[in-house]
Formats: sequence, C-alpha cells, structure tokens
Amino acid sequence: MMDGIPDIELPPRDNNRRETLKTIASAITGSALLSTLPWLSPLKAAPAGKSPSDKVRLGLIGTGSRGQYLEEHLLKTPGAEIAALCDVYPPHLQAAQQKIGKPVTHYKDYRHLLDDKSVDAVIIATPLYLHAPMCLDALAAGKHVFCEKSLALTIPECKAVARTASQSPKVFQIGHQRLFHRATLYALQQVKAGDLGPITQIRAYWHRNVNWRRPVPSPELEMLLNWRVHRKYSAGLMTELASHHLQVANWFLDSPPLACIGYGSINYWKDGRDVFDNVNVIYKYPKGVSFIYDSLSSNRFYGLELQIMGPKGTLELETAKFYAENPPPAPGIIQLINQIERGTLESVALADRSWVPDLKKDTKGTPLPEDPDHDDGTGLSMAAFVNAVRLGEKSPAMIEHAYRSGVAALMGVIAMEEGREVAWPGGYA
Amino acid sequence: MKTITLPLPDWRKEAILFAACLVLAIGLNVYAIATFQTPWAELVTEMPVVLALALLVYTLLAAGRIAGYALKHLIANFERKNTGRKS
Ligand SMILES: NC(=O)c1ccc[n+]([C@@H]2O[C@H](COP(=O)([O-])OP(=O)(O)OC[C@H]3O[C@@H](n4cnc5c(N)ncnc54)[C@H](O)[C@@H]3O)[C@@H](O)[C@H]2O)c1
Repeated sequence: MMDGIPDIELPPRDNNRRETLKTIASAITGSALLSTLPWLSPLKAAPAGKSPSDKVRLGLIGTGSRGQYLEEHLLKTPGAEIAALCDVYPPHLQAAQQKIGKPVTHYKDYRHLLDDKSVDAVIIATPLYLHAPMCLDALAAGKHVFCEKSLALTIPECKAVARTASQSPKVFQIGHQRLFHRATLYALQQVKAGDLGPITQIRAYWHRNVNWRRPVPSPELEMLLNWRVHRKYSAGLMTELASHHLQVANWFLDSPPLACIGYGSINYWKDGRDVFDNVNVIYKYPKGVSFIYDSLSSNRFYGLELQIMGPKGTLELETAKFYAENPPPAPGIIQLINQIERGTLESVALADRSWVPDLKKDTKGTPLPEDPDHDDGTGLSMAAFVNAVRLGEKSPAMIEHAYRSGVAALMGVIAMEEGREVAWPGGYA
Repeated sequence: MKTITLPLPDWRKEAILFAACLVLAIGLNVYAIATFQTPWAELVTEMPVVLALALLVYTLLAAGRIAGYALKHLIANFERKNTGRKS
C-alpha cells in the first residue's frame, strides 16, 4: 500500500464472531492507521472468560426499535450481560424482556436503574431530547455510557455531555456505527493512500418516501411514539439521518465544518409536524471543500448515498464501491471488437466530443470489502464498547466524533430555521 | 418426397478448420494488444474471449457452408428436372 499505510487485513467469512474480532484486532495491530482509529483498539483484548467478573453488566435504557436492535447484538457479544432494562412504554419493555429469554430486572425510571450498583454500563437508546440528561446522570452515577446518536438536542447540551465525558474516568461511546464499518475503514485507507487525490467535495443524500409516523394506540402516546416529528423532542432529519454522514465527513476531512447554510421546509407532510420534511444544507470545510447534503421524505428514488470525490476517483460508501476517474482500459481484444462494432453500427459521425453531454459514467466500479456477516458496524461497535469497559480504556477520539457530528447536525438545523450562516461554535473544553 | 442425405462430417477437416479460426482469433488478439498497447499478459487472460471469437467465426463459416451445400443441392435438382423434361 502507498504512503507506508499497511492494509487492514480484515478476516474472511467466519461463523465464530469471537474469532472474527480477534482476527480483526490482530490484523490492525501495528498498522499506522490504527493510531488514528483508537476506538478499534479494545477489539484487541483477549476474549472474555466465563467468570462473572469478566462480564460487563449492562443496563439498556430505551427498548424501542434501536434499543432492541442493539440488544440483539449484545446477546451475541462475548463478555456482555444484559442485567437490567428500562423503558416507560410497557409493550417495548416486554418485547425486550422476551428477547433475553429469562427474567431481568426492569425499571420505568432510568434513575432507579442508575442506582443499581450491579450495573457497570448503560446503553442509551431513547429519543434525542433525553440523551443529554441521561448521559450526564449516568456519568455522574459512575456508569460507562454508550449513547445512540445524535449526541444531544442542543449545542449547549452537546458541549456539556462531551465535557463531562472527557473529564470522567468512564468510557463514553456514541452510536455512529460507521466508525466500525469494514468498507468505510477500507475507504479511509484508500483516501489516506491518495487513491482519490485530495478530497474536493463530499456529497450525501438520504431520501425516503414515508411520513415517519407510527400508529398511536391512544392520543396521549403521540409524543412518546412519534417524538421524531416534534421539534421539542427531536431535530428531525438532520440529527436522525444526516448526523451519520456528517460524522463520516468530519472523519475523512479530519475537521469539523467551519460553517454552514441551508434551506428546509415542510412541503409535503403537512400533518401537524414541526420538523422539516426536506432539508438542504451546505457545509464549508477547510481547504475550500464543501459537504453538500439533502434529504427528502417524499421521494425515495435515489435512496441514500455518501459520495467522497477527488480528482482521481469517487468513493460511494453506502454501496461500498470505488470508481476511478480514469478506469484502466478494457483488454485490447474487447477494444478491437467494440471498434469494429462501432464502425459497422455508427456510420453517421457525431459532432466533436465537447458536444456530447457530460452524463454520469456508467462504470461498474470496484467493490470495497464488506463484512462477511453483513455487519454495518453495529456488532463491532457493541463488542468494542464491552471490551473498552472491561479494559477501562477511554477513547477521547470517540467523544470528539460524538461532539463534532452532533453539533454539525444542529448547525444545519439552526441555519435552516434561522435562515443564516452558522459558524462552528468551537470545542467543548 | 425425396430424402436428402447429408454427408457425415469429416472430423479431420473440421478440426483443421477450427484450428485455423483459432489462429485467426489469436492473431487478432496479438494485433489488438499491439495496437491498443495493453499488457501482453492478455494473450493468456483473454483466452476465453479468443476461444469465443474462434467459435463464432467457425459457426459463421459452418452456417455459410451449410447454406452453400443446400444451394448447390437445389440447383442440381433444378437442372436435373429441366433436363428430364427436354428429353
Ligand atoms: N445508529 C443508528 O443507526 C440508529 C438507528 C435508529 C435509531 N437510532 C437512535 O436511537 C434512538 C432511539 O431511536 P428508536 O428508533 O429506537 O426510537 P423508539 O421510539 O423506537 O425508541 C425509544 C424508546 O425510548 C423509550 N423512552 C422514552 N422516554 C423514556 C424515558 N424517559 N425513560 C426510558 N425510556 C424512554 C420509548 O418508550 C421507546 O421505547 C434515537 O436517538 C435514534 O436517533 C440510531
């Protein structure tokens, strides 16, 4: 590999997850890239033994859709034991309880779970407005914290959580699974090796054609179940979706955004929501690089993609492909056949090349290696968190990622709501 | 109706013909590599394409030969009928 950055030799298909983690960890040990990915280093730890003292006892706060997804991963993670559950909505709590298959202590008030001395760490998968208070209370109670993205509902809250987490001796991890995603790690390696040349633009979009609402059994449950579409509890598309791509942009550009501008509106789902149903934001990064983001809730044709572009190539991370700007020519014989075909079929000459519209090139691209278990990074992120807790290994870089992506998402929201350019508000120290 | 009896293929002749097609396709590959300045390794890596090309040329030739044979047969029949009527 160029620039002395060795390959991250991720393992081939392997049904034994414990073995997989070990192989990944040993493969990246000593890699120059590893020093820039400190959150992966807990994966090097020896697998947890059978002894209860080697187990991390976890409390899961918020057992809704994401909470249960994390729970499924935790049930497969060596060294993890789900010791307590907490939710205010009984159907979700029961569903989570059933997944474990044995009775587990459960709470309605998360503060009671935090008082439980047998719980080492908490996983917070609640609506956005609860992230900051729950993280702060959990750290104050001496618990290690894994908090789902995005970091918090307001920039002052983001600062408070990041500052407290960095001062606490406890581990803090954010739910940005792309930090652990195999194809994304390869892509980063390609960027560092200069395969794209300097990054000149990042573009991302996340389009859906859904109203984002859940059926509500009774009106008083509206805010609890449909918190995403209410501004008091959520910042909408920017924190729910864009924060993932902003995290990758900050990571690959090695900087938070300097400023942003944007427009958003509710142009389709006029159903009483007060978060935008379409957002369009441009972020300014150092060296004249822009990150362009848009998200629709009324058309899903283009789905989601994150495109990292440079003069030598384009990475599309959601579909895990690399496209060289000048792909190697086809084999000679194929070129000859094409030429003969063209000569016979296209007897009418076209105008000069500049006349031809610059339509998208229809090239196949080179696939980036994907995780053999199709893990989007969530499984590894759970394993890394559990090991980090076992080892007591904090990762300041993780806090930085949480802060930068959380704040960047909120900058976009403020830019759209207030119709002004929003500058990076500085660090949290 | 008259039965047309097709002669059995002469396997030696067919093998020589296919070998000739193969040589032609290999020659084309060499020409393409030299013209488009692509790696000489394509002499090996593009073998499946070369084989397919040889097969295509051979099939086209075979089709032409069958058509020629049928035409010859029709003309001979026609002439035989005409000669019969005159006498
Ligand atoms: N990393 C990812 O890819 C990803 C994907 C989906 C969701 N998320 C994040 O996960 C979080 C949860 O999202 P979700 O889709 O699971 O939402 P959800 O509404 O399905 O689940 C939230 C749960 O929190 C519970 N809850 C609400 N108030 C509570 C309180 N005071 N105490 C305890 N529990 C309470 C709710 O009853 C519900 O069960 C959000 O922050 C979301 O952005 C992350």
